Amino acid sequence: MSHRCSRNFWDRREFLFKSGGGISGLAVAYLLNRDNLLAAVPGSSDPCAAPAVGANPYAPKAPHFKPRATAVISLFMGGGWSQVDTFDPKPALSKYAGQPIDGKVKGDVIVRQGYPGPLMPSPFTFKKYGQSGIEVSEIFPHLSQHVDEIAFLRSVYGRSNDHVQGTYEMQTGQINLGFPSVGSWVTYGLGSTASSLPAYVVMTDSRGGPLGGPNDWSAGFMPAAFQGTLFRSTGDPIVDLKPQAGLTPEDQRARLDALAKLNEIDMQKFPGNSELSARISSYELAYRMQGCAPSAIDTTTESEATKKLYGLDNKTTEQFGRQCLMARRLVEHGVRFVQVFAGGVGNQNTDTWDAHGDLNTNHRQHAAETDLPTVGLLTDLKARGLLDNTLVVMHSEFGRMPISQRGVGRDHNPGTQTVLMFGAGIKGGQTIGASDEFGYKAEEQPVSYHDLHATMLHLLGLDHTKLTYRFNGRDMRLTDVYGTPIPQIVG
Amino acid sequence: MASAFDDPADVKNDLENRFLWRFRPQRLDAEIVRDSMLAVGGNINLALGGEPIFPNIPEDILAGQYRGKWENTPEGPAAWRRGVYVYQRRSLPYPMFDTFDHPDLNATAGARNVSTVPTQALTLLNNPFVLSQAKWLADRVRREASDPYSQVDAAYRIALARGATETEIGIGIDLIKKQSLESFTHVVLNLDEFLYMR
Repeated sequence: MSHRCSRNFWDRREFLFKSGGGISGLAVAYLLNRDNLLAAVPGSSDPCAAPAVGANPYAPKAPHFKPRATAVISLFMGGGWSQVDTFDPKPALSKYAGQPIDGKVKGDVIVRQGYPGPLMPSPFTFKKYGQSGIEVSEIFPHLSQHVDEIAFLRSVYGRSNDHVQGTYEMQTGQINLGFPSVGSWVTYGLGSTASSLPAYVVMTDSRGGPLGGPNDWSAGFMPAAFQGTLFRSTGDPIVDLKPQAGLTPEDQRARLDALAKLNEIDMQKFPGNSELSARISSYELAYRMQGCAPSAIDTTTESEATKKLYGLDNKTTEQFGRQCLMARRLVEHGVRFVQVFAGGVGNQNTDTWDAHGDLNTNHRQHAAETDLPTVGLLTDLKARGLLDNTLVVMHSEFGRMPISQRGVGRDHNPGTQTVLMFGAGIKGGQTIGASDEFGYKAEEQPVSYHDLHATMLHLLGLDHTKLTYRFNGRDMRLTDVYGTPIPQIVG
Repeated sequence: MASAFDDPADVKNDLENRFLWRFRPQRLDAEIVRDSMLAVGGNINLALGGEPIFPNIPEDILAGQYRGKWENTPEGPAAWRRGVYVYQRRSLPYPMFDTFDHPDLNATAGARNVSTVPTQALTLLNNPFVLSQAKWLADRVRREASDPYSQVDAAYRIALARGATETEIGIGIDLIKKQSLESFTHVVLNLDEFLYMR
């Protein structure tokens, strides 16, 4: 899988030869596909249907073994959601309410911001749901109805109690900057079947991007082709997607045709150079993206029932619901990896799950925003037959402390968080691992972020030890030298 | 030019140039793509030293930023300085540079990647900076030549440092007649020959 020398990236494709012998092959392929391309002009009935022409950086690649899923939707609950107030009930917090945690757990208790208080019971009540009887907090009235379709990983631990480092670790496996994100690895390993869209799409909260910024979906040391493409929630989804004002598709086509003709003359001076031919294809993909991207995420064509399913009719759920619905549409169009961020750092304590202050209000609000849309996504994927081959992961950068901060909030805690996984044929109604008596640290079957990543790759048919990229003289891996797929998920 | 050393026997023996019998065309680095456009548009500001510049980033991207400054430098000579003077912000790489494989600002890079991705094409097709430099190039061409035939040739001489062939002139005239000289100079800024050193 590894590309030994990144500067020769395109040479390895030997695309010209495979497509029928040099320049003439490309020219023929180009001409044969002209009609399809013209059918893909922005505004025509299905601008996304045109097949890819020539070299495509996202050309589908075979997995290592038979995959359980072919697409991933990652729902990132920015800010750090509290396990003990959502999916990991801890009666001990009520039993020992008001008592210090010191002495009850091993080692020093480290908080991020400070003002540590005593053990604080959850302000929310938990009840058992479904056949499995998994307990869920009252703030998820919709998700709780579907516990039998969801796996709850109750012992996922990270290495940093800082938002940015925690986010990097969840996104790239490393707390340091500069490493490729999970979506980059997946796209590098599998390519994409979307011929008119980027392979890896990112959507951020309109209240602000996540802490860490574009590094959260960067390709790190890999070629830029594998970085996430940020689809903005307002205006054009991609920077520079829209042709200049007043330029008709026909006018633009004429420019592209002139460009292709002039470039083909130039290519004859460099027979066998696949990088130059790849440029011609990249223009065609760009042209198709102009038509396809806006329609792929256009939720106005959905039925009223579907919009309601995702909560588009309600101000609280509308934003995350729209992101989830867009994620489903993108997966339907063949996009490989969709990364959704819920919670944005406009005002960190209120706009994200970062409940240093009033946890009761904060978590009620963010659960209300995400609960119904997540169920909408689950239900809709299932109804469309997409759930079995789509992996949905719902997680945060870390969990929160079982002790209070200033009496009403909770500080950061990378010791344990609960991660939800569904789809991809994953057995629902199961809890995996367990945190300690207070929900402070992962205790039974601790799952590292590397383990989580190894599991995600495995479900996609990729062996995390074999998916490597040569950088600085080393075959780099998403999981470094660590990681074990979770048996209850991949078994 | 590498083509001066072309030998049919070499082409036959090593079409892909695996044994490096000729110079491999090298795509210009991100900063140089921008600098070259400024240069052929007649606008490049070669002043040395001083404060960094903040080339235009769309407002809705800036609005999503948590902290740190990026005040777009108004389009004009102040903004037309060379790419080395573009402010380097770790959390917000200038999108045009990012698209053209500017290394990640948070890690060391032994060499730059060279990728060929559709977002580069989108930038070169639709980015307002590129379109405005195409207009400047057209103005410059108009000052040198008045009929489409010599305009195509002049555009090639300015942008590619060589005259255009009859075939190229034919394709150029077609587009100028169908649309405008600005359309043609826009195409010129997208040419492989413009974007690659060879």
